[in-house]
Amino acid sequence: MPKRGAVALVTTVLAVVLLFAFKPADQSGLAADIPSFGVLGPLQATPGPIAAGPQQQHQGTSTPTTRPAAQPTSRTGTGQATAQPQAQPTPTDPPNSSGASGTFTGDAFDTQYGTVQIALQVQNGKIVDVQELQMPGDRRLSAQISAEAGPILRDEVLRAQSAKIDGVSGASYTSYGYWESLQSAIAQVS
Amino acid sequence: MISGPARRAPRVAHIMGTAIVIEVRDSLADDNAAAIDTAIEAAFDHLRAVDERFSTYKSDSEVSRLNRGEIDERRCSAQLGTVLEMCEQARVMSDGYFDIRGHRPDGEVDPSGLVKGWSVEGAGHILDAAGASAYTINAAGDIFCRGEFEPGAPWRIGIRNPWDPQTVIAVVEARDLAVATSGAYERGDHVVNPHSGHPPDGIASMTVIGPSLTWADTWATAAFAMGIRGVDWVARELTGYEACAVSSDRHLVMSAGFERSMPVG
Repeated sequence: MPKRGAVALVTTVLAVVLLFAFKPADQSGLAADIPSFGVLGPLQATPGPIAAGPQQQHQGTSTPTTRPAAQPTSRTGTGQATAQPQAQPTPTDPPNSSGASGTFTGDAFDTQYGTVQIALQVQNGKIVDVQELQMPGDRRLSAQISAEAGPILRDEVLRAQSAKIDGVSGASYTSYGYWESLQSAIAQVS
Repeated sequence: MISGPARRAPRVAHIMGTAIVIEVRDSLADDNAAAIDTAIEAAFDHLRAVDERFSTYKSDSEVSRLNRGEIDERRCSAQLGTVLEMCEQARVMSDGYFDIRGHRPDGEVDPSGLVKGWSVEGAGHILDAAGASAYTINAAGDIFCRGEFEPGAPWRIGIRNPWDPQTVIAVVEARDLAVATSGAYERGDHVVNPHSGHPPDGIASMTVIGPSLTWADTWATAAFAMGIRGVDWVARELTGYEACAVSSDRHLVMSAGFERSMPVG
């Protein structure tokens, strides 16, 4: 289901656009205040041990040393995944409220993965959709991976969702060309 | 709402083709509040400067000039020299699985597998120097955590579900801890196994935690290239570092130390 990948990108775009909207007067146009996401839920008082080990700095010249083997433990999730992406391309305030409508096509940018070009659908000054006009082939792979999402790690997912989170670690999700093309499209709306 | 002293909202900037978020939890009532504000901007400036020098997307960056043969490794900036030295050290220590010449099909030098973590850690040291004692810097999923979210409450960092950006598959409690993830999703096959020239089989993402983000980022790249067995490699060979992988067939594989960093219950 290729849509899921697209939804993820739209989510990113909307977040980015929101950041613009929060502080449009910012000089650089790149930095803005965003609301704290550290207050989403009750804190869990679970002071477990931290795996950082000795607080030594590995600064260039240090050499990790061998230590007794730690056996990885395998956890297996079963059952059907119930967590679905909540993101929908909901209307969002644009960088300004110009009331513009139409399709705004961003410039095409070459990246090491291929050419990236996006377009914004704007209605009455609100971004209602983001389209990928050109996207490197690896996006299709990404979509393919998404389509295979199945009974993954259900217990882990549910457990992990249950409490507040201060940040999420994951592979980079905004390619350089995507951002550049998006910016050029936003500039046309402004 | 959390009561207590007034705190800053997280700050975000778009640098290195991605969103960088700095959240400082030190109180605005502290004497060094103004110094920390200045340091946050200096930290962003540091990241911009690193991007100018190291970006493989910018044709006038020093790395791009190195790749065009306009400069060589003996006549480059001290900063690039240091990075190349660390990359070489990583290549040797990882048995060639981290190789800045082996991760790209065109064979050009791409040190970004180390530079992002290194630059964010450098930004953290700028905040440290200003007296910040509790903050996170999140560079598109590579996260440097200093101190705790609140006294007695560690930072809680989720590990992204490779198949669903809206969910996480694990949570790590972090105090003075770096968290870095390398994966094959979103950007496609970002990392290839330098020995085979192909993406590693059987692995969707690799997360490494430890004291330094420079090395957590680097080891996440190397361990991902190794495949699932990279978890064992990290736990066995790298003191202070632990790993967690998500396999292509949707299993979690983690080192014992990583599991200990997860919340109980």
